[in-house]
Amino acid sequence: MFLRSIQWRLQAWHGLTLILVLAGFGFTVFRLHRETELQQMDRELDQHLNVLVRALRDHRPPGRSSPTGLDHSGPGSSALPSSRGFRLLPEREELFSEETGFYYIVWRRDGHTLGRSTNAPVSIPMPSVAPSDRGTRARELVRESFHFTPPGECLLVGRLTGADQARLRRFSMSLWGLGAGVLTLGLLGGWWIARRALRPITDITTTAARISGGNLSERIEAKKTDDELGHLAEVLNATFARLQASFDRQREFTANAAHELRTPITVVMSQSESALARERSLPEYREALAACLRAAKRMRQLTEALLSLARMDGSQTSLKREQVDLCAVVRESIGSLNSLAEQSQIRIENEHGSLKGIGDPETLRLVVTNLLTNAIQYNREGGVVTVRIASESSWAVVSVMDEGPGVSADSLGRIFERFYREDGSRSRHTGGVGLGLAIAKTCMAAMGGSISATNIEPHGLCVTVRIPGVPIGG
Amino acid sequence: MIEDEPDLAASLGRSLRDEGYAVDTAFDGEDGLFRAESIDYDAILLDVMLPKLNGWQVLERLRRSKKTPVLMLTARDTSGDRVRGLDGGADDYLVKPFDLAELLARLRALIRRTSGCASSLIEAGTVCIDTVARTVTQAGQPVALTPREYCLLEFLALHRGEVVTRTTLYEHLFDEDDSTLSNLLDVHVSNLRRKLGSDVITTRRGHGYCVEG
Repeated sequence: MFLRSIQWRLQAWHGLTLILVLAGFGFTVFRLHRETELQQMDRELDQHLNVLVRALRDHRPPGRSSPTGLDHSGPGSSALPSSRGFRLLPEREELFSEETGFYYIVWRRDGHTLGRSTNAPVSIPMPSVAPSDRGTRARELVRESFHFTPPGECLLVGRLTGADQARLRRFSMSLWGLGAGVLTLGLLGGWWIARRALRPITDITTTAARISGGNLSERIEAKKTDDELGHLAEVLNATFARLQASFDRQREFTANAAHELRTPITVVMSQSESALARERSLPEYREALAACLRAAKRMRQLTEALLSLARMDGSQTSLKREQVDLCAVVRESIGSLNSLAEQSQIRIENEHGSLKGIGDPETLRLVVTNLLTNAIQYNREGGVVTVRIASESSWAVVSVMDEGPGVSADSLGRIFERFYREDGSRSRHTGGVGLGLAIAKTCMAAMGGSISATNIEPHGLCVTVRIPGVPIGG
Repeated sequence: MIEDEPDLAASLGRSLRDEGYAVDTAFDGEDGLFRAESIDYDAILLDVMLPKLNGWQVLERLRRSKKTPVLMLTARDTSGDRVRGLDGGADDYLVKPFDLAELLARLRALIRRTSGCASSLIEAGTVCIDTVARTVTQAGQPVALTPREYCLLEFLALHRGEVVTRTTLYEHLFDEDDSTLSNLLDVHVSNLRRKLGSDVITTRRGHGYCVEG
């Protein structure tokens, strides 16, 4: 469970990195420190050794210093001055004492001890002959430098390193302590930072869960900060807003649809209840049945409109995209509406010609028929419906104009909304359900076209649909 | 009744007339408002979705001058709509589609409330009127009345103690399509007196009729 939490994972990585860095750093510091200490000690040993070397040179009587003299001084030779023992001057001797920690020992070539400081350990093995005349060696708790003189004496200066090692140990302990402290602080700080950084995520998660639980109007409280989480909150909020808008639209649409269905249902109920309440005359029964039929037709019209809207909403891809002769579509639509036009004494004027666009012929016919029906129904009595087909840059355009009252400026943009009616009531004289133009708009959008409406002076409405034209040479 | 759907207006009107109500129908808001402002109706049935003026607008303008009880009929049923209707001055609210029986009951209650009666039984002296069953009893004995006679008696009893003018009676008992002559009132009054006793309805000459409380 811990491994699944970002905070814990962050913390683990953070801790691991910190430990590695601290370990590397501590180790290096320790090594450097020890190196420096050793070099320092070796330098001091060297200095002391030099003192010893000088003292030995001074101690040897003049003339005897020739290497030849030493050459035949064999083991057991007592004639050599070195065999008489070796002592430093008192002020030099002070350099080698318990206080300074340095001691010395001088051997003759044969291993006989010529002299030693008082504090020198009892048994010191004489170093074996080194390739060079000088050498350094470390034994348990001591460090020693030695020098072979040309005659073969061996001078050795040593020092007890117990105190140094203890100091080094203390240093290493303090390094450990420091490292642990830094690690603790780092982990705590990291924990705090991670918590701080992740808290907005927790907030966002809680709020998002609440919102997805049903309350779509809620929003994530986005901090003013411009950081990544602020952006995340913004993006989520925008998503929620779109979701809510779409839900609201859906809810309103459903409410409107239910509302539209209620009126015919009320008619059926009230007509039949009224007719059944008592014995009626035959014409009264007939009238009640006719009213019920009218209501049922209205319901059928509404459900068909709703179904075609639902189909259009969900089937953008199943539409054909082929060349359509707009003039042929218009001619067919007019043909199917001739009887309606005659009933309303409306004349339809169609400009002949030929223009091709790209779209789905069935859907386009539905749209044009829809617009023509509106133009007939909303026209003045004995009016004219004019259809114009034209090409505008890359669009193929069909305009349907009537001589009716037009619509108010406010309504021009809204007549394509579902269930929108200009006067807020059911259009009794036309029997429409308020979905025709909405369906037309959905169809046009699905075909990649557009639809718009303008008023014509002095009176009338012009509805224009555009579909992509056929490219020249295509 | 202000209702723009002709089939609904026709069937509702028929049902209301069956119940003995006199019904005037307006098919749009403007006409409805004009009638509501010029005549004192017992109650107004008001649809919300109307051409010209919608139900809310009719209600708002009507309330500036009249307290006529209004029963709103609408297909919108969210609580927000109901609150808006009631706060806007509607006395009751009924969502389409409705039961005719419920509409009639609400209408009766509305009319009763505005005349100050809490119960559906009205008592005036020995006469007892059951406005639900539309029956009249006198000292426990049922009295058979024609619908018109019943309406006349109920209206006078609802306004008992007051003098009701002939014009008011005429406006409330006959709708605008009725071609009945106003002297028919006298016929109905004398019939009622014959059936219930002459002291039930008193005539105030030059003013009108009165049922004593």
